[in-house]
Amino acid sequence: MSVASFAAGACFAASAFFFVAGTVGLLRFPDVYTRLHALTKADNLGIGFLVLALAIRSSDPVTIAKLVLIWLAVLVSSATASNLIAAAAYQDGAPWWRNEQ
Amino acid sequence: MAEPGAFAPQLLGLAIVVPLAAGAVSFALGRARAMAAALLGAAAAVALAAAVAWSVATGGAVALDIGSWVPPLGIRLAADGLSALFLVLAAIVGAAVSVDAALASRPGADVADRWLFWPLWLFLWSAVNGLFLTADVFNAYVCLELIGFSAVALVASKGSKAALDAALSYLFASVLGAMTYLVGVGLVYLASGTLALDALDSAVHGSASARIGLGLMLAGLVLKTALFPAHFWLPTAHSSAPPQVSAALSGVVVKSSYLLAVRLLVAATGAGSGPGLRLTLAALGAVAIVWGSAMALASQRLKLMIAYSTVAQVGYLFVMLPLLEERAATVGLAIALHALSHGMAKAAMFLAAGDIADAAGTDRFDALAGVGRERPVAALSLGLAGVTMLGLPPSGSFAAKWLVVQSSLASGQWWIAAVVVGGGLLAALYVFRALASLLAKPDRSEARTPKPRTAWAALPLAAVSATLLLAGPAISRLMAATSLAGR
Amino acid sequence: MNVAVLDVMLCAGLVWCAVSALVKRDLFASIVMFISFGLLSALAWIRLAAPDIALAEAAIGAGATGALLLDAAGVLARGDGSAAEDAERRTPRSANVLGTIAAGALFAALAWALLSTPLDAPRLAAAALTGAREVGIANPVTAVLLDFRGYDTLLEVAVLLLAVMGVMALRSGAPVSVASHAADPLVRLLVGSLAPAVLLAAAYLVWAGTSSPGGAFQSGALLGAGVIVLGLEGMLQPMRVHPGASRLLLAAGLLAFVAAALEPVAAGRALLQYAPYARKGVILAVEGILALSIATTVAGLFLASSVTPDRGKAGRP
Repeated sequence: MSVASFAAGACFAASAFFFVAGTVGLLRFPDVYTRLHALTKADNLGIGFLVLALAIRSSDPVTIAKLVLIWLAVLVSSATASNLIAAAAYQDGAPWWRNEQ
Repeated sequence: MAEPGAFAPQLLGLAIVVPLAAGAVSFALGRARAMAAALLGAAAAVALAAAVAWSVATGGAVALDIGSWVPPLGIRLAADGLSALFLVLAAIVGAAVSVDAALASRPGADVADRWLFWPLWLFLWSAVNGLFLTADVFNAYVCLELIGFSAVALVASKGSKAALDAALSYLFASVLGAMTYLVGVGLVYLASGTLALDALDSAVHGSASARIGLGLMLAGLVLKTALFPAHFWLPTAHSSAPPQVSAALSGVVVKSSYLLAVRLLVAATGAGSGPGLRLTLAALGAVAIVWGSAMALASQRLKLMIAYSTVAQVGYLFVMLPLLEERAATVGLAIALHALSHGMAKAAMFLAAGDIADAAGTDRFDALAGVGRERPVAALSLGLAGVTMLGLPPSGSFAAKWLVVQSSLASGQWWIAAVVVGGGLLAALYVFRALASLLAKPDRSEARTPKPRTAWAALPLAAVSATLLLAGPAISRLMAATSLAGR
Repeated sequence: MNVAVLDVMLCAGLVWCAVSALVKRDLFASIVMFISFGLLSALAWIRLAAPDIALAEAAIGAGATGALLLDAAGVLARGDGSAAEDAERRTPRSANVLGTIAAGALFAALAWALLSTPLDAPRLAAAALTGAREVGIANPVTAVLLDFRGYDTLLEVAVLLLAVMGVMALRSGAPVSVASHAADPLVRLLVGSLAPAVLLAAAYLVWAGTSSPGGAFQSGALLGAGVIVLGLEGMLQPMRVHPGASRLLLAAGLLAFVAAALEPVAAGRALLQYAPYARKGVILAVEGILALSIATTVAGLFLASSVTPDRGKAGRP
């Protein structure tokens, strides 16, 4: 097993970990704002590692450039979308979660 | 052009594209000049229909491969006598509708505000011409879609809540019909690899899925043609539209999907569309005649009565079908005569009813007493159109019924003759009832404020329809260039 | 890696989205499921090797239609309740039962028909490929749409114009107008910086259409979706369109196509029989103008039919 494919495999694993963690957060966190937090932060890392893994496996610079573009597009749109959802939830008076303990 | 006949195929394409272009120009020009552009387009459409009919009558059937791409890759337009006659029907009704709408849209009238009528109406005209001429089952779907959407928009353009409700159920029925047809086309194509109408027979012959496809196509067309019991959308849609729109819908649009259904049946004679299918359609047609006439008799509004009468008259068109195989020439002539005379008469009735409703402020029968005296032209048009509904000579429908009764007795299917004759009696009841209420003595003396408008367009339409027998030789000549015998 | 597993998941997801779009009692949730259905079917089209349809499905089926539905739901939620009641009016049980039986029968007939269809039956694809090679248009889809069956497309373009006319007729001829609101600065930044990219991508799709997937419909859908977003963010205000100009823009595609169809007739050829030397140029020109008209249509359908001045909460009932 070459170094490159080992690195790619590690990146895939990291990506899967962050996606799973993000999904668990989405399902388990107590309010809109914390769920958004889990979703965006974990998913951005997840797709980052995924793009990294695919880039390592690819030898074509054009493909790598496209992958990076996709990564940037997802980052920008998920940041904007989560900001919009949070603003809308705040406007509608969605309840805050407070740690009572 | 090297020879005069060489341009004839081009006429088919122009008969569709020219009104379409006029509609687009009319839309682009906007409120102030929409009508002028549309009237020019209407005049061109009438001239082109006449030219197609002339070239079919003198030189026989015509066909055009669009873009010179031969089917099955390309799309073919074809005109035989029957298509030419339906083109002429659209032209005559279209001319009357255009004139009536132009008369109705003088400044101050509410129609002037509805300038979108003009582009929508020309799109509708172009699409029915397209459906009359196409020899490709997928292209027919596109035409059906164009017809459906422009007709729905025209019905909705009246703006009242009743019109919007009617337009919505019309839209659902129309889309459902078109979708069912399209799924059928898909199945036939999957089985045969062709979309050409005249290749349908061999396609249907070998394959069960193509037969199901043919059945779905016919079911979609039955819904579009409003054959009982798929007529539920027609009475409200046709009776709550503006009068010119009702005239076009009842006069021409229901005939367009009917013609395609006949073409499908004829094209697939060899298989699939055996006698059983035709008998089923005819039985539904017979029920439609009785049910439509009864509902016409029971309705309390003039326009609703006329709309239900369309349900009944569509029944006649289907009741003839079992005779088509044995006596293709005679029954084909009957179909042409009935479609033509009913189309013109029904359009005349709706135009006249619009005038009457204008004068009375409503079309409820109990408020119409004496309106016939204020609007003699409209009342006369209704009466003349009634001659066609009853099937009295010298109307075209008299000739049609005569031919059908003869053929049905000769082939032993007497029940068809009974339905046709009985339907005429029922029609007499509802036509006389309408006329009686119009000509009754007015029950109140105060003068209504008459609006300055007369159903001038309805009268010639009704008159031509009531004397269509005089055009018999020309129609026979055109039908001589038609084969509905199947293969 | 077994792709079939992904395909099965895709199909299951499609069915699940469709069913939950139908059964959800909350209108908003059901629209969200409908949009997800559109996005999944775009993926399905990719799997069926039809990227052209996937592009159009994503932009129109999921994007523009979804936006329209959300807008309508917003209007219903803000109304006096009678409209919302109308929308949720229960259909009678008998109609439901009849509908279910009819749909079941149709499904059985279709399933049987599809299963009994021979897979090796002749198709037109081979003829289209040969024809496309002959006329020198590398993308066979474009050759079919604009040449072999250009007449179908001509009528479909008329259907698009018809849709706008229908909406205008319902609004008694009112021209396309754009409502605005104070936009979120973040969204403004994003939309503003993406607009040139959308324009570039739309132009590329027209250009690429003759040789690879793309063309007027995809390009117009993308451009139209971009204009909708700009309109929603109130960024079209500085360039309020003259009604006459917008009508001309809407009709231009059909008029250009009609001109391309009629020119051969004037030259003594058949309808839509392009001159061989001009074929590619004519098709490119028609597609370019068509793309602009389609974009105007898509944007106009949305912006003309959204009736609320307060756009801020339209999508969030």
